[in-house]
Amino acid sequence: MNWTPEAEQRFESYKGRVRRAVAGNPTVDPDDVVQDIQAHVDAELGAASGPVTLGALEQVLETLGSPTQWDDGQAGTDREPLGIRARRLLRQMQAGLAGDWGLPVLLVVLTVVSLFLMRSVGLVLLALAYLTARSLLTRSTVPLGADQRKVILVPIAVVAALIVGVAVATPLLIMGRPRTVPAMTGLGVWWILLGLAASREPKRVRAALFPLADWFEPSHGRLLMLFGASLLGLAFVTAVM
Amino acid sequence: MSWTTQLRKGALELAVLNVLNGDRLYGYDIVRRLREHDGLVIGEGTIYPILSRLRSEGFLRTTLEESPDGPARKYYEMTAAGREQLRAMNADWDRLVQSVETLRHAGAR
Repeated sequence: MNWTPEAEQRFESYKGRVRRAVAGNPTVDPDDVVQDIQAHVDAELGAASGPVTLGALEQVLETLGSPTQWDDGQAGTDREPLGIRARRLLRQMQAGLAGDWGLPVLLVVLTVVSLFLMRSVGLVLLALAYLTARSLLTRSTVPLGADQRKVILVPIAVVAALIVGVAVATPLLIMGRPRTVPAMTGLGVWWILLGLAASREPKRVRAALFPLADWFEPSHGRLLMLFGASLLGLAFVTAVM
Repeated sequence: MSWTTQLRKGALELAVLNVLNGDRLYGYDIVRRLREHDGLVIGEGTIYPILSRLRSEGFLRTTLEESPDGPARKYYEMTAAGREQLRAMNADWDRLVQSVETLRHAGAR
């Protein structure tokens, strides 16, 4: 099935919302639900001639309804574990934070200020901007325009870059100079382990970097493992020479 | 949440199991069958988390099968535990409806 870029982006975003909406229910597998939603949309729009347009997709998504309304009555019962209940309450609180244009702009300002205050309260401000931005993307009760989404993505992109940077370069933070054999070896081993973990748990990577890594697949983790192995090889050659 | 919404949410799981009683259907077909009944489903996506939960609780099982129309389809069917659960739920539902009907008629007198 072919898609227009707008429709494809909208559907990816919707699937992200589906994952977030059902993630708090331990008896529901988000992959299972997304797979069914994908099949539903394929069945509804597969017969259409030409690429799937945003308008056609919106009609189907409207009949599917907002994922935030999909609590099937199991959440919030006495058998719900405390951790899950806490996450659900947090999500409900996040839903209350969702608002209009003013908030996205405020979030960008907060992000910029946080970068200047990194030595004092910057991390707290950045965390606040990041959590609120994610809430807006996943819990907003009003449809967000493409421009609004771009603005909201600023704090998320900054935090995602920090997470990726720290995750990928942790050995260098500990061992220092990247061109020494021990540093290259440490970095190579680290990338192999990181790639292995990411290839086994791509859902966690997508969730940590949501919605910027919805494309992440186990093959990307394996690619990181390959880079790690190459670096190990380079370290070996350097040590021998 | 309005009481009709609560009522519908409670009844939907029973409706899903009844649709699958003796049948083997893929997700979209289940939605289509429920769609035929007025007022039962508002957001059709609601069905899919229910299917996933019923599967993790052992009441349904799934199989993937090639489809001539596109990607492989995931078919749902009831397990023995699911049939047992459906019998119990239908009995509960009958008792509930009978009790409410009794009260309605008593109130009308």
